[in-house]
Amino acid sequence: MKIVRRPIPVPLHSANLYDIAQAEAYLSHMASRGFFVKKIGLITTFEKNSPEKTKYRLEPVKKENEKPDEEIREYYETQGWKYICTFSSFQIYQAIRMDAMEIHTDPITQSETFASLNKRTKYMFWYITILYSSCIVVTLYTLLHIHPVYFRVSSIYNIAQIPMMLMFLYAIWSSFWDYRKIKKLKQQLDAGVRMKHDVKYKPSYGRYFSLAVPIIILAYMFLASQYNKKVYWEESLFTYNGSIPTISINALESAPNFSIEYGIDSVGDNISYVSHHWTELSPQAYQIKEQGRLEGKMNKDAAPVSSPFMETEYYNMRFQFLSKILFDEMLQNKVDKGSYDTVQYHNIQNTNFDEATLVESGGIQILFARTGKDVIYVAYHGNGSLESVVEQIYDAVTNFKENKVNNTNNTNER
Amino acid sequence: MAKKAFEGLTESMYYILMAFAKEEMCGTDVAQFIDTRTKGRVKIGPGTLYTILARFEEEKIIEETAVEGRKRIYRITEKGHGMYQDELMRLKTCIFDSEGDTL
Repeated sequence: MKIVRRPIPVPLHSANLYDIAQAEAYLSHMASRGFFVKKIGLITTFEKNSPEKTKYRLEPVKKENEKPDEEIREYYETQGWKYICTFSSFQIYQAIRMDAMEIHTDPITQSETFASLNKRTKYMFWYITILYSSCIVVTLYTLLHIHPVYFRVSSIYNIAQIPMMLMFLYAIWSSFWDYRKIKKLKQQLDAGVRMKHDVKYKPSYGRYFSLAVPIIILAYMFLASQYNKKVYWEESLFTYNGSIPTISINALESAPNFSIEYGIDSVGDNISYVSHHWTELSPQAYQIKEQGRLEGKMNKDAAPVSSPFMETEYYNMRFQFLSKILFDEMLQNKVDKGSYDTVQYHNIQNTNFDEATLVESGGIQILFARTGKDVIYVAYHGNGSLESVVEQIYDAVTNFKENKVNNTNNTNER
Repeated sequence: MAKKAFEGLTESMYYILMAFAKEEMCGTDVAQFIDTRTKGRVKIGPGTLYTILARFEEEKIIEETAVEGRKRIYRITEKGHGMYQDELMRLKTCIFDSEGDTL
């Protein structure tokens, strides 16, 4: 006799177990192929023997993992039912002979056996709902507060929150169906309707869904983070000689004592840099920072006084409608209304951009603009006027995209 | 089962009470008694039998008197006897009503 072990099969997974007739049908189906269940746990053990037509019954228990008394076990055997094992909320019996009398002949009495399981699934549903809803509310609040599309595209690390929320929702949804299945079954028995047994085993893909969802989400999170690591780069603007989707701060600062700082800050990061990252919503995202310095202008702590700087975020979105969403989200997200007394919005009309808004607050000029699938954000602090270079920024964005296309074509030709 | 069941005993409950009303016995004997008495008409599955026994004991309709090996012996309590008599009366009335109708 051969013992076969395999990870818990999907029809016996707790998410499907409450579909009792199908779980029984699955065990009979296995027996008809010569695999007789012996033990169910994380690993399910089957005994390999000659194929046999047999039937199984799942009997709900009062307490989890409760085993039957010796007296009951013996009596069931004399009536044609052999106790196999207890798994989760059920004791599993196998028919010794096909004409064995049903374990339950009185539906109203049988309904009593589901009372405790009915309570447990109900409590579980409310417990999961209350616990996970609060997690969802917290996540949702965070997402709404900082805006979901921008939240996702702005950093490669913002990957877990949305899938986690989907998993919480899925857990609530599945616990609700567990509760509903058992409640409905109990109601039917109470009404004197006999339970369905000996149905045809239907291996359906829907049953795999319960396991597939979390696995797919986790696998995606893992692969996306690996891919992110592979494609992410950051370089000092001093050594970088590729093109950037924006203009340099030099176009706005003409003072002779102005220069860009290319050094490394106290924690070892480049002061002026360009970085590139990928997210599924935005396959090309660049962040560029140019920190300027005005020689000779120091305050008493020997720190540069209000040094000019320019920060750019550029996103090439997967779809055009996302760029509109991102534009609106950034407009709300990137302007800290609370910190400044005055925030002035100015829509730029004569521009090649599809939409462009200039915001001035607290001495910082911010340009939000989008064209096609591209969204750009430029924050500038200095003596120049950002409005005067909007079209130059548009050209930089367009040229940058053309350069990208040319580079890709060249690579393909090679 | 709960309240609903005790408002009117199911057939299985009624026959199990009937068995205990005759004498004290264990679960197996109850099934045997019912099979003989009804000439096999009333079948009580093992799950049904032990669910009812557990519930009857919990509700103090029957009580355990002895344990012989693995077998537990029960006898009917006064409350159980009262229930059995009530049900018997109810059924007799039903039959009486029915016969009165045909007369």
